[in-house]
Amino acid sequence: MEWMLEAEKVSYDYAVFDENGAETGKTRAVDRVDLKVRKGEFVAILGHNGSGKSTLARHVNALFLPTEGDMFVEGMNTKDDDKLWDIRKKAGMVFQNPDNQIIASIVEEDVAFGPENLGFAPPKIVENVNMGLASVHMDEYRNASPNKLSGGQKQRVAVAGILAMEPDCIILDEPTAMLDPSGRREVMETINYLNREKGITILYITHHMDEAAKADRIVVMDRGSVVLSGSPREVFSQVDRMKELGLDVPQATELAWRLRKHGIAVRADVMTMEEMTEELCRLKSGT
Amino acid sequence: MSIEVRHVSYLYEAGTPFELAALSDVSFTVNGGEFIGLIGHTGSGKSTLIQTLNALLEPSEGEVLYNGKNIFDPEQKSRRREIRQKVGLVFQYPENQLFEMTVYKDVAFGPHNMKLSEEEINERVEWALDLVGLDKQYYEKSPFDLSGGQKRRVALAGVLAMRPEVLILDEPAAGLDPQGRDELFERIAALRDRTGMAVILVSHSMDDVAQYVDRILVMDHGKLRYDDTPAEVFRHRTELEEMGLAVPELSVLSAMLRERGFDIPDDILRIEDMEEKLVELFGKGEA
Repeated sequence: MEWMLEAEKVSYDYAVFDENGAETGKTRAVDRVDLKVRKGEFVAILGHNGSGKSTLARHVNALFLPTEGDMFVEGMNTKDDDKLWDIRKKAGMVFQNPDNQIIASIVEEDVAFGPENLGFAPPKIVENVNMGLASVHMDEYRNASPNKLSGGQKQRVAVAGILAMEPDCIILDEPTAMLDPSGRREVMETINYLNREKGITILYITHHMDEAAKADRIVVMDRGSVVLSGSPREVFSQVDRMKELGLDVPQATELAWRLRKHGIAVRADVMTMEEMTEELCRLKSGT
Repeated sequence: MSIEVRHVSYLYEAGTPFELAALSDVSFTVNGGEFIGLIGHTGSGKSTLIQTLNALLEPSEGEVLYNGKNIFDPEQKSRRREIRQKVGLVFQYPENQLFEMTVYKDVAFGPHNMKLSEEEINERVEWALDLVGLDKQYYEKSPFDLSGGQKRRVALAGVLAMRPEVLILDEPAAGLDPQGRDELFERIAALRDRTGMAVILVSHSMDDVAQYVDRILVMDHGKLRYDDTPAEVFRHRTELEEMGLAVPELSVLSAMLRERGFDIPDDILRIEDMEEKLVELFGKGEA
């Protein structure tokens, strides 16, 4: 099957309660979203706070079930109770704060938690823990205490724990929001490696435009709906639209947009400072 | 107002095999009205440092002077309490510390504890909420019904209501979307201009720091490595990268352009300034 995920008119309502606990109404967080993600695709989801992106992501591993519509993971409907554990095994989730996700006092035990819960045989657990830690380059820390690790290392341990469950898809919800620049780099390199080398489908929520620029496709959400979808170049070159949506574009793209307003003919879709340098050199030699 | 940090060291678990120097021999002075960025990798000592500045942690060695007086004077224990009001510390994700039934009560909590008159409390709460841009229609709302960005502003107002002379913010924009981040920083800059407070911004985002502050302190393994203007600090690209940090993207661009023979200064840190410089080089219109 070609599709990792298929959201079909997925809507989700949060109940709103008053101070006595009585339900007073509903807020629609996700509104009739149609979204298909191919196997092996790396999709970044952008949107301002409250746009519905985290709510949508939580549908993928059946933490949330659609109020209306259906979510399919490798063809399995998340509403199907019998498939719940298969779905959670296929699609693992990494959250923003690494400290909230670590449960054991030794790195390898933390990584083993997932496969143990899935009932894998002990030799298989050992093998998967080794594979998970090796994939995120954390093998040498296997006997370390997680609280002695840096933020980037903790997030990589969280990713290793997911990998040990042999997922086909990993959903990451702002995994670098609390990390320093080298931690961010480590996490991004790990994600790229898992996607390129292991063919794992990635759904990546972020506020960092330079991270989103590395994806195959960007999906932009606003008020619960998907409003833009395309390659990073297609999406980011719509600078005015992105600003309207309360979002940013990579700095190189913004600079190109500003220069073009002055009639300086750099390409509108540059995404990196390297490309900007090439464009400016091209213009300089042309004059 | 001045805070003078003199040869401050801080040891965790001193005298045990786990002894770790979180700060070693750090010295600098903060003056009223300064906007300072504090950067450093995870574990570099930033958090320990800001906690010594507001008297939460007593240094193992060295002194911290507030307007010339030692804040840890053993004869003057009450001074620490006073310093915690003068030096306001906004922790990461401060909205997690909101707890009152209404926005107004939450902001009034600090002044209330200071045993101020009702009139004075009222005046301070209104002043603080006005500074963060929340008007009267929010006073009686539950802080828990607000958006993430608004909650963070309520938490900030709670610290401002103590009328601090120094405001320290630990990663204030973590988890905010680009628009929320820009609004928050603009507000903090305006607040500094209106009140003459000194502001210390702890951040992992070199681009945010470059955009707003006048001076940068760089911490690395407990030592203060640089204390200079952003333009000077970001000239040390190799050293910063070795420390797990980075330089702003525009510094990368100007370095690449200089290598290719462009006449571009190496201290451009704002996109507007880069735009202006390139327009000057390429001219308007027909380029």
